[in-house]
Amino acid sequence: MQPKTLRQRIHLGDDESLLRRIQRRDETALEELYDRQSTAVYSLALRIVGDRAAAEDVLSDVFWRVWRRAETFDPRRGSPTAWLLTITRRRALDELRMGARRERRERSPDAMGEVPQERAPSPEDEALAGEVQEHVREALSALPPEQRGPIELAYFEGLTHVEIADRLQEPLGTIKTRIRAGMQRLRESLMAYFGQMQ
Amino acid sequence: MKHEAIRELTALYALDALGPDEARAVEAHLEEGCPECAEELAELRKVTAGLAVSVPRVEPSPAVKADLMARVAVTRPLRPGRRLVYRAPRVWIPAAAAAMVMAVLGWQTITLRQAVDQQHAQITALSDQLESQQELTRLIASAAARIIELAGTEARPAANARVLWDTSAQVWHFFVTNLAPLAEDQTYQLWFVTGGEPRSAGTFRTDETGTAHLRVDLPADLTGVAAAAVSLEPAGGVPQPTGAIVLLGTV
Repeated sequence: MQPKTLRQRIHLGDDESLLRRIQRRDETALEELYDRQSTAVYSLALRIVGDRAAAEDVLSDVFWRVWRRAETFDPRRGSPTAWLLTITRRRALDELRMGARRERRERSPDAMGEVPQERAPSPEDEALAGEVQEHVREALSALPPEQRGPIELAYFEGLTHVEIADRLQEPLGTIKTRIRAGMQRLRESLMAYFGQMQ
Repeated sequence: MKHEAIRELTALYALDALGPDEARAVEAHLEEGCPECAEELAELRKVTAGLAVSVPRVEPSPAVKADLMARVAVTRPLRPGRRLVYRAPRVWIPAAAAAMVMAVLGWQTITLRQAVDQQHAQITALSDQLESQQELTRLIASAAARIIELAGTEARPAANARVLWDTSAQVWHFFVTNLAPLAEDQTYQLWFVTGGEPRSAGTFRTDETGTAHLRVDLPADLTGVAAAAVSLEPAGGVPQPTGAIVLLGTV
């Protein structure tokens, strides 16, 4: 197999042209984008909301928004994937907050549904996604827990630094320092990795 | 805020872990143009994208895609020959064609169901709208209502606006007309003007007819509101007004 450039390998260009076609109401482009990105969107939603049915709602809603509002994508502000995952995270956090409210009202025993099974989807793209994923996971698990914990609370539970300090019963200054230090370490590790790929 | 202070916040900003005021301060600093912070943020954003893909990969059920595409199909403009109406098949069609008709009927059932869902959503939206209009009607009739008239300044002489102030619930209903829509990189920002520094009441954009409606809860610690003002600001808004004042009115 020919070595690919980073750009080809992560298909940034492709998703951008798909979004342009979606802006022109091309349904096949939406379908293609869905096929490429639905697993990433769904997996992130599931990690945040922790429930298959709710994660499916998020998935469907995210792509519905893409269909209706593709013109709000601005390539100067980041890649299509980053844009999609930002929408996904926000929508999933909304769902999480709504769900928490619902759950307090009516506690149903089988609301959690079946336990998600981990399954590797399609071949080549997945190999790369898997590679990046593996690297980020390793970088994350190499962080000391007192740095990783607050970062995960911020990203996957949508807490602000003040709420995190409150939750962990630590001074705000300490939390800020740990998040900064952890993010800098992840950044160095990822930049070194991407640099080596190019 | 100073560059050094902002640098302390970029990692938290990339993680979306700041409160709204600090987040706005970071945005304002970036709007002013700081290549160093912009580059740092671009890299930190890759880290957050990395966090997003670090989660265990799980495939969604195929039903989600089928539902989505059916919902999308409903939004297609109806053209002659593509109708949701069922037409009776002619009796002599062979089995394969009959199977196809059944498949189409199945698809039509999905699209019809989606159409019904959409109408439900529309009804919900309309009843929400009705409820908020009833709230306004009650407010206008009650003694708790105060009105602030805002006039367009020389920057926007045609514009005018009005705040309907619910003094018991401490809510501002802000209505503006004839205020020209803005380019993507700009926003209008509404301010509570008090004896001290003005406080942001939120940003808004007007539609192509130049109108907008904003509902703002007054902060509990806000006292001595003397006036309301609207300024023209970079997208995302600013902690303190920097641009031209386009509308102004005293209490």
